[in-house]
Amino acid sequence: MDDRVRIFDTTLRDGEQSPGASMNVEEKIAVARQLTKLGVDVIEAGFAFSSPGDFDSVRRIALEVEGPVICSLARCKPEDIDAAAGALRGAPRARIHTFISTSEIHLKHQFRLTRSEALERAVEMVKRARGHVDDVEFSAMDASRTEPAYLYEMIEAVIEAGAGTVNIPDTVGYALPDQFGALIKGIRDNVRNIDRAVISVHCHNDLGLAVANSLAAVVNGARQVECTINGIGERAGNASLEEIVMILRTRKDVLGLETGIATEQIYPASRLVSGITGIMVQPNKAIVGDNAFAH
Amino acid sequence: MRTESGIQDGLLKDKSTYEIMRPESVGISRSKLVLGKHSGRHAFKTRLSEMGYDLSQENLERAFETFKRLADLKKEVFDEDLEAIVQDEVLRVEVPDRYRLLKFKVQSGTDTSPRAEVEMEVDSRAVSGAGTGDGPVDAAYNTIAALTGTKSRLLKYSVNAITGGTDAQGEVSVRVEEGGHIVLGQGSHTDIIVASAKAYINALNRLEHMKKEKRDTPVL
Repeated sequence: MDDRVRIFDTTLRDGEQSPGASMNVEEKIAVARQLTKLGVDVIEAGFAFSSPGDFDSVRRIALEVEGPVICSLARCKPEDIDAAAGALRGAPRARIHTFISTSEIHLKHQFRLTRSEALERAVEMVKRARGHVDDVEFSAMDASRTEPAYLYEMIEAVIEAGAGTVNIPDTVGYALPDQFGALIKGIRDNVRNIDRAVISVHCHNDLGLAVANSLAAVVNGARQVECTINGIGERAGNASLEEIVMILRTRKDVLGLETGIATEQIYPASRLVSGITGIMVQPNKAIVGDNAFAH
Repeated sequence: MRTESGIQDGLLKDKSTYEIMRPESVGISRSKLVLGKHSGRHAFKTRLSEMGYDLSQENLERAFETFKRLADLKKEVFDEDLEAIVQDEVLRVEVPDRYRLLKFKVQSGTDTSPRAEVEMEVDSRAVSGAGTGDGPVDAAYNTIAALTGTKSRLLKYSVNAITGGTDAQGEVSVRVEEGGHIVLGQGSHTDIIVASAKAYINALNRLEHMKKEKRDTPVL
């Protein structure tokens, strides 16, 4: 396995879901340009189907920002997949990121689908997405509360259908590092075609463990981390990009992994995002807080 | 970089004594670059670019003019001031807004009742009016709410000097709610009452934007 961890930035999609953090399209383009300087591998520019404004943001970033892969989120629905493809048209490197829940609690109460219906729909939508672009990511929403055997089955099926990245979200921020690391190892050991895809993780910070869980996943073979600048995001936020990147860099002696991030662009990115969203960085925040380098 | 207390000596001798990372490695510079009224376009553009703002020629000109006006008002222009200029003059005004502040005047003090006069643009039409309140901000906000016909609630208001010095720019942040939508608004100016009006209008514009954008947000 390679030792390069891909950084998937979702500041413009999940980060924008922080209460009150709406950004206009010019502000999103400014952030996307800085993310490009920062050297992220993938920019999740939005959720094209959700609103005309989001569609337009994805479309403009796809056309105006060159370097990283530009990605749009899409539910496992034909209209979502087609909207994502439409917004991404013309991007030199485009990715459709589609998702469906795999946990019993979500399937039963939110999606009202049986396991086999969800699996069938996921496969069908990954294939549909592949009809539009070569680069397709699939997320098993609420993966950390999903029965492992079903999760393995789902992942194997979507890889077979053409997903090149399989994302394992800890949607509600419930996982513990050891447990989450073991889940990633379980996927590597039990999904037959797993070597044909990159394992990704997307951790939420409800218990303050988003970075620790992401790190545990990487140690166990995940090679893409989904994160945001300053860790902004829904509720308590997402894994913070700057912390993940600086952990991998500072403790390369133990971890032996690297990212493609130009770390000296971290602070400008942090200031830009807090300035635009109005979400202040706490003074004692690791890496980018006012006191981070004060003695 | 801030350093206090007795560990300074060890730090000066060998930075690795306490630092596992160098601030420069994440783009925090140990010295602050300051611009002033003699700084030219090139220095201005270079600094903005280092801060992550790559502006079009037209936007750069607009921001530069604001910078020059600010540099006349205050001696030293810091990174924080530049951030405020770009956010206020470029990013926030690029998208067509429903509401725009044109002219603004307040009176307040110990022996006068606070009163605001506001001229603004609502859907490209100039409107004006005056109103009162229990302070200059209240007077301004009451007047703006009347002119825009909006019925939002102000949940939070805060003002910060974005740098040191009595001539610093004030940055006002407001949190405003209407019909279940919550937005943040920001505005900066060397006059904090003007900054307050700008922040409020910014929030009202964001509310309009949000009301139009009926969206279904996934939880991933």
